[in-house]
Amino acid sequence: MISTAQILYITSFALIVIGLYAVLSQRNLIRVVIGLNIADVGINLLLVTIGYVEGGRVPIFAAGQSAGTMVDPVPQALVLTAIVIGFGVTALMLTLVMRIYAHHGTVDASRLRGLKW
Amino acid sequence: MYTQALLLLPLVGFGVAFLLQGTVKRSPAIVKTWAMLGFAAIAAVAALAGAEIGTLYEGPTVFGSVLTYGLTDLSWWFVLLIAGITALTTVFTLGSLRYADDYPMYYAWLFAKVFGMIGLVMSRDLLSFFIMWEIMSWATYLVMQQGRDESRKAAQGYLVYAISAGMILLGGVVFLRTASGSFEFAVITKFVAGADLGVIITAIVLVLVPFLIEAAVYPTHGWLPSAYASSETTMTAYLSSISTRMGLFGLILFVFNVFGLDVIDRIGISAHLNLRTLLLVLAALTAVLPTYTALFQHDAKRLLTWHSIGQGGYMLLGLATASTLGTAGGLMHIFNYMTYVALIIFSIAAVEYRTGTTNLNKLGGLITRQPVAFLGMLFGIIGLAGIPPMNGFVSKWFIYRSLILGGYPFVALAAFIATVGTIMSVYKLIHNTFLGQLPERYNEVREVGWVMQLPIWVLMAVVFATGVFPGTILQWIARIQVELGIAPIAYTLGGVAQEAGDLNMMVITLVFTLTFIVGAVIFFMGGKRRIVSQYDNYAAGHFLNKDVPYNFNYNFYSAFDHIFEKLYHAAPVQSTERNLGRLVATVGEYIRRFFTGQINTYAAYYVAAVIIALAFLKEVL
Amino acid sequence: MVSPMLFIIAPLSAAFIMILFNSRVIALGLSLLVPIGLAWLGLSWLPYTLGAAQPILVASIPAPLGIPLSIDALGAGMAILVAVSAALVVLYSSSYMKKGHHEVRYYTVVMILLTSAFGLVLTRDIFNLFVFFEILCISSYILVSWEQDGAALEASFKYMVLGSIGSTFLLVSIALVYRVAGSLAMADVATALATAPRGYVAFAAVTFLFGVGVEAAIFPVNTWLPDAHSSAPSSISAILSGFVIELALVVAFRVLNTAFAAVDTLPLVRVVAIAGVIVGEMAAFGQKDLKRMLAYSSISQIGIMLFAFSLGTQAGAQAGLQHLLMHAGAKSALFLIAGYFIVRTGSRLIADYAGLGHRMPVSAALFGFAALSLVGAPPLLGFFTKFQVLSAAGAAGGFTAWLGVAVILFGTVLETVYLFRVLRVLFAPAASGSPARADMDWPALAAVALFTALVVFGALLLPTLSQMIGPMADGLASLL
Repeated sequence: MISTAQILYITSFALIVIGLYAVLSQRNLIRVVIGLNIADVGINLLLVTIGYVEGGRVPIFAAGQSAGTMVDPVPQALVLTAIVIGFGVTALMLTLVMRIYAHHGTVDASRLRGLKW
Repeated sequence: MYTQALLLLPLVGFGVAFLLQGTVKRSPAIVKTWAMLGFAAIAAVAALAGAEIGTLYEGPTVFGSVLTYGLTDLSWWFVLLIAGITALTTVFTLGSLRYADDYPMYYAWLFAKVFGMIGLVMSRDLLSFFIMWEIMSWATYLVMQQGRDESRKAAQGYLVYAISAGMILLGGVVFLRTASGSFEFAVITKFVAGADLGVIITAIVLVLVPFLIEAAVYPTHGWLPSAYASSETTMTAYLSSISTRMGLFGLILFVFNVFGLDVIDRIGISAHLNLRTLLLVLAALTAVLPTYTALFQHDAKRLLTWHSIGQGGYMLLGLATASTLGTAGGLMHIFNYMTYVALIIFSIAAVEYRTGTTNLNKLGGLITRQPVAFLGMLFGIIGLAGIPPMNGFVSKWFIYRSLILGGYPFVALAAFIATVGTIMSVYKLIHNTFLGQLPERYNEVREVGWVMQLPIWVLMAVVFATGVFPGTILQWIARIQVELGIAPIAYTLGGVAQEAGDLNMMVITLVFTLTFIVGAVIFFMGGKRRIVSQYDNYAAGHFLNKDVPYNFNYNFYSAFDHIFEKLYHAAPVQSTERNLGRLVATVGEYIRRFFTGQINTYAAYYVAAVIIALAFLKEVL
Repeated sequence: MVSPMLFIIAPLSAAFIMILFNSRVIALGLSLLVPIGLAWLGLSWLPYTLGAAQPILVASIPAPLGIPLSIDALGAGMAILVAVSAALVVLYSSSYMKKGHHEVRYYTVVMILLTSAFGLVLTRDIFNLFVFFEILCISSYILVSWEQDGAALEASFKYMVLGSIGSTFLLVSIALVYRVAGSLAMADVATALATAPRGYVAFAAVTFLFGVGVEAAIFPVNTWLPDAHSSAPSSISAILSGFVIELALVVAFRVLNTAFAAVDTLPLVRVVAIAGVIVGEMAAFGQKDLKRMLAYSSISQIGIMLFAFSLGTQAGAQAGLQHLLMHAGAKSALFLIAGYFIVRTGSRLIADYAGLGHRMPVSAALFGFAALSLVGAPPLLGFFTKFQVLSAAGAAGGFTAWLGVAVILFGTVLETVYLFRVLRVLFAPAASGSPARADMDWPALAAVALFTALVVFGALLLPTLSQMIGPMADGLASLL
C-alpha cells in the first residue's frame, strides 16, 4: 500500500526531474524559465511533504490538542520564503528574457552564444 | 658585515636606480654614475668578504625556519666573478649605452639580477636558495626584455623555460622538505644518505633538471640563443659570461655538497652506466651540436650565444668526471669563459657602437679602423678556441686530460670534435668583422673612446695573464675542491704538477713567443711584403674594386651550410619546443570548448556533475 | 561592544536610506562609510573571536526557535576582508561608474550584496544560509547585467539559470536534512546526520556542495563565471572575483566539512578542485579578451584554494585561507586595472592594448606587480601562500595530493605565460612618439594601489597573520 506521503514524495521528485529536464532540453528561454518554475514547484511540494503528518491537523494549539497530531509548521514557513524568492527570481528572469529579445532578437538558447570559450 | 652588505648594496642600488628612471632621458649621466658607484662598491665589498667565509648569518623567519646565508669558498668564488664582471660591464656601458631611453631600467634590473645571483650563491638553505633562484630568474627576464620588440619576444621564450625550471625546482623543494622535514642543507644531506632509491631519484630529477635548463644543457638549450642575442649587446656579454653559469653553480652545490657524490653514484645500472655517465653524454652533446650550429650564424652576437651553450658543455664535462683534474678544469673554465666571452662581445659591442650592426655579412676589414677591438677579439677567440697561451687552453687541457684518464675516450673525442667547430666558427667571426675588405661606408669608423677600451684592455690582460700563470686561479680552485670533498689539484704557478704529465704554461708561452718572434723576424726580414690599396687586389680570378667587393664574407661557410643544412634545419630541439607549445595551445583550445556558451549544456553539466559525484562517493563509501 | 548584528543591519538600512534620498553624494558617502565602519567593527571583534567563537543572540530568542548566528575568527576575518575590499571597490567606482547612470541604484545593490555576504559568514542556520545565498545571487545577477548591453544580459541570464538550478539543489538538500534532523541549526544537523543512512547523507551532501558550489564557482558548475565576470562592470568583476566566490567557497566548504561531516566528501572535493585548476588555466591560456582571461584564472585560483581546504589538515586550511587573501587582493587589482584599460582604449581585446603601458605607466606597473603575485614570484605574498598550499599538500601526502601539486605547478607556468603575454603587449613600443599620460583617476588609482600594496608587501604581514590564521583555519572545521 502506497501512503499519501510516498505519493507526494514521488510526485515532488518527478516534478523536479521534469523541470530540470526542461532546462536541459528546451532551447526557448521562456521554456527554460518555466522548467525552473516546475522544479520550484516540486521543491515546494517536497518541503511541505516533509512536514506532513498522516491525518495531521493545522499547527495551532487549541484546547485538548497535543503537538503530536499537528503537521510540522517549519517547512510551511520555509515554503513561503521559497515561493517569495522563486517569484522574485522568475520575475527578474523574465525581465531579462524580454531585454534579451529586444537586444538579440531571439529567445533561442542555441543562438544566444555570444559569450563562449 | 660584508656578507650582509653584499645583499644590501644591490637592493639599495635597485631602489635608487628604479627611482632615477625618469632622469634617464634628460641626463643619463646620473644613473650611470650611480650604477658605477654601486657596482664598484659591490666589487670592493665582495673582495673584502673573503674574511667572513664560513660564518652563517640569519635572515627573516619564514614558515617556521630561519633563512640562512653565508659565504663558502665556492660561493665567494662566484660572488667575485659576479661582482667583477658586473663592474667591468658597467664601465663599458658608461660609454656604450647611449640609447638610454630604450633601456630606462637597464641598471635597475641589473642591480636586481645581481641581488638574485649573489643571494643565490650565498644561500645556505633550500628555501632561500629557491627564493633567490626565482628572483634571479625574474630579474633575468626583466633584464632581457628591455628594448626592442624582438628582445621581448625572445625574453618571453626564456620566461617559459625559466618558470618551468622554477616550478620543477619548487616541486623538488616541496618534496625534499616533506620527505626530510627541513630546509637545511645539512639535514637534507643526512636524509638523502639514508633514503630509498626511489626517493633519491625523484629528488635528484626534480632538483637537477632545473639547473640543467638554466645551464642550457642539451636538449633544454632552445631558449638561450634568441634570448641572449636579442638583448642589448653589453647585456649579451653579461648574460653569456655569468648568467647561464648559475645553473652550473646549482649543479655543483647539489651534486657535490647537498646530495653528495656517493648518493649520486648510487643511481645507475653499473659503475660505468650511471647518472654521471648520462651527464657526460648530455655534456658532450651540448659541446658538439651547438658549436656546429654556431658555424652557420650570420650575426656575431648570435654566433657567440651558441658558444655559450657549447662551452657550458665543456664545463659540465669536466665537472661530471668528478675527478680532481676534471672539476678543476670545469671550475676554471667557468672563469675563463667568462673572461674571454665578455672580451669578445665587448669588442663586438665596440664595433656595433661605431657601425651600428653585428651582421657578419655586412662587416669586414675593420682591423685598421678599430685595432683595439681587433686585439680584444683576437685574444678572446684564442682563448675560446683553446689555443695557448690564453687561459682557455688550460681549462680545456684539464678537461681533455681528465676525460682520457677517466676512461671516457669517446667523450674526449666529442670534445675534440667540438673544438674543431669552435676554431672554425671563431675564425669566421674575426675574419668577417676585422679582416678582408673594408666596406666604403665604414671608411670613417674610428676606435671607441678610452672608457670602452678600458674593460677590453683589462680583460685582455686577464685572459693572457691567467693563461700564462694559471696557478693564480688554481689556488682558488683547490680551496673549492677541498670544500667539495675532492682531492685538491697540485698546482704550480705555471700549471699543474702531476704524475700523469705536467703542464707549465710559462714554458709553453715562452716557446710560443719565441716561435712568434722567429716568424716575425722572417716576415719582416724577408722584405716580401708590399702594402697596397684594398682595391689593388684580386680573388678567385676576379679583380677586386669598389664595384666587385671581396665576397668571402657573405655566407662564410656556405659549403658547410650545404652539407649540414638538412641536419641543422631538422634540429629536433627547436621543433619539439614548438610542438610542445602548440600541443598546450591546442589542448587548451579543446578544453575551452567545454564552455560552449549554451545554457542547456551548462545545465546538463550541472546534473551530470551531481550524478557523477554521487557515483564517486558510492565508490568511496 | 557593538553588536555584530550591525554587519547585516547597517548595509541593509544604508541601502534603503540611499534609495530614499536618491542622491549620488549620500549614496557614495554611505557606501564608503558603511564598509569602513564594518571593517573597524570586524577588527574590534577579531581579538575576542580568536579565543572562542562569539554566539550572537538575535531578538533575544535562543537557538532552536531563533536563528543561530555566530561570529568566529574565520567570520571576523572574512568580514574584514569583505568590508575592506568593498570600501576600496566603492572608492574605485566613484570615478569609474559613469555619472548619472543610475548610480544610486548601483550602490544600493552593492550594499544589499554586502548584507548577504556578511549574513553568509555569520549564519549558523542552514535555511538562513539559503536566504542569504539567494540575496547574494540575485544582487549579483543584477550587477552583472548592469551595462544592459547584449553580452551583459546574456551573461546575467546564464548566471541566473545556473544559480536557480543551484538553489533548487540547495533546497532539496535542506529538505532532506530537515527530514532527519528536524532542525535547521547546523549544529543539530551535524548530530542528526551522524546517525542517518550514509547514502542519504551523501545525496544531501552532494546536492549541497553543487548547490552552494555554483556561487563558489567550483568545477564543473562554474560555466557562468567567465561570462559573468567578464561582462560585468569591472568594479563588479572585482567584487565577484575578489570576495564573492571566495566567500561562497569558504561557507560551502565549512558547512560540508562540519554539518555533513558524516560522509567523507574530501576526496570528491579534491578531484573537483584539481580539475578546476587545470581547466581554468588551460582555458585562460588562449584567451584574447583580458577580462575573460582573468575570469578563467579565477576559476583555477578557486581550485587551488579548494584543493588546499580539501587536504583536510590544519596546514591546508591555513594555506588555503592565506591564498584566498592573496587572491582577493591580486585579482581585485587586476580586474580594476583592466576596467580602466577598457575605459581608455574602448576595447576588451589584449591586442588593442599595445603600448598602453606608456600611456598608463603606473596602472600598467601595478598590473605587473599584481600579476607577479598571482603567479607566485618571491618575495611577493603570492609566493608564500602558494608555497604553503604546496607544502601542506606534500605533508598530507597521497596520490591525489601530489597530483594536485603537479597540476598547480604546471598551471603556474601557463598562468605566467599568459599574464606576461599581456604585459608584453602593454609595454610594447609606443606607435607614435610619446603619447599623453592618462593614468587612472586618483580614487581608482588609490584603491588599486592599496590592493596591490597588500599583495606586494603582504609578506610582511605574514608573522602577524600567522598568529591569527590558526583559529581562522579551525573555523573551517567547527560550527561554533
